[in-house]
Amino acid sequence: MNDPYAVLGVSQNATDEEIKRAYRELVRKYHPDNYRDNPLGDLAEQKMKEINEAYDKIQRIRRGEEPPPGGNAHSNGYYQNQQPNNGGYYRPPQYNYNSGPPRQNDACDCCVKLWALDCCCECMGGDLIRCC
Amino acid sequence: MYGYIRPFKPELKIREWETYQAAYCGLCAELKRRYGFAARFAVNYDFTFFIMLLAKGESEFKRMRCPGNGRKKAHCFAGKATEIAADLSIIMGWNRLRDSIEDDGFPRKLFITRPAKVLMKRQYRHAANVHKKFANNVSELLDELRDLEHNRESSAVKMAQVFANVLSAAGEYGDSNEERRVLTHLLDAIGRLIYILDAADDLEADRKKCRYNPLIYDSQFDAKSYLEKTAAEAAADFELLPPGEFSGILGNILYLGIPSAINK
Repeated sequence: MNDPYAVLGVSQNATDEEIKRAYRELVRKYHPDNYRDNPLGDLAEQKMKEINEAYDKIQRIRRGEEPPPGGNAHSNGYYQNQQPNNGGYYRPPQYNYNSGPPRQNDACDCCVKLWALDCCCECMGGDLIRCC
Repeated sequence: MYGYIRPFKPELKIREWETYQAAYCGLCAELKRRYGFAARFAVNYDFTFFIMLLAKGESEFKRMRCPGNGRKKAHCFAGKATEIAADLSIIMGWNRLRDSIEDDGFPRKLFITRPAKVLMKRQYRHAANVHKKFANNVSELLDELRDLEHNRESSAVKMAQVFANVLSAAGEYGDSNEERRVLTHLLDAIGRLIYILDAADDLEADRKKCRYNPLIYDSQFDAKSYLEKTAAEAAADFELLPPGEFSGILGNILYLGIPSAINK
């Protein structure tokens, strides 16, 4: 199986509730009762099998029994303690989405070290320097 | 053609409506490119739906001038699906004219239907040459349908199935074996829907003019529940198709557009 999250149509950061909801919706769509007199019933059965396998795999990933898709063998025990919104991926701690990659010798660093300048920047409407 | 397989516009996003129009305009543009200006009259909603079912990643959107819309330029969807749909539209259009000659009254037959058929003959031959199997299928099945009508066939389901076999033959244009199976069954369900919807629409007029209509001869037939069951079949088949560019619009057509046509 490729990516169980893609099979259910959810992101890797989805909450357990979202995953359950997506699973139930798909099961309702491909339920054998919808394909009772339909010659394509075998295709629907195959799809149901895929969906059930994907859901089971996600459960195992979230319990830490399996690495997530794109993870490696070394990270097998690591993911148990990750927050769900991290998606189980390791990120260098200094990487901040709000400020971009870390910079050492520029105006951004001045703002960070001299917080007064940081406040002035904010009072002027913010965004004067990229990190603010 | 029949125009029952259309989206439910109030629930369609503007972006989806524009994409749908692009598919329709694409069919029109392809008809003009392959068969000349007059062939644009063969453009129809049914084969627009077909384009959206078949469309794959290699297609693109182009800007072209639209004679039906003043000097405006329209976005037109172009690709292999549009080319096939244009050819099949010509084949279906010509066969419908052939049938109309049987049904129409004298002035219309002489001044409209027969001349149109003669003018379309060259385009039909070209399209039929490319799609021999489909063209032969359509001719044979429409002949069978006409014979059943002459014999006043009393089973509406049988009539709908014969007509559906015409459309389901287009399912052969799918890429993989699985897709061909799904398309064939989906188009079969759509064909049955179109036939019964058309019969229900023409029921009053046919009753007055004493023309054949399967719903007159099959008194046990519950058209509404048959249509609802067939629409559900079509929707279930659609879910088995791989997601594509037009999935949102197709979903709207199958879950909202067709039920809305049934209720009308």
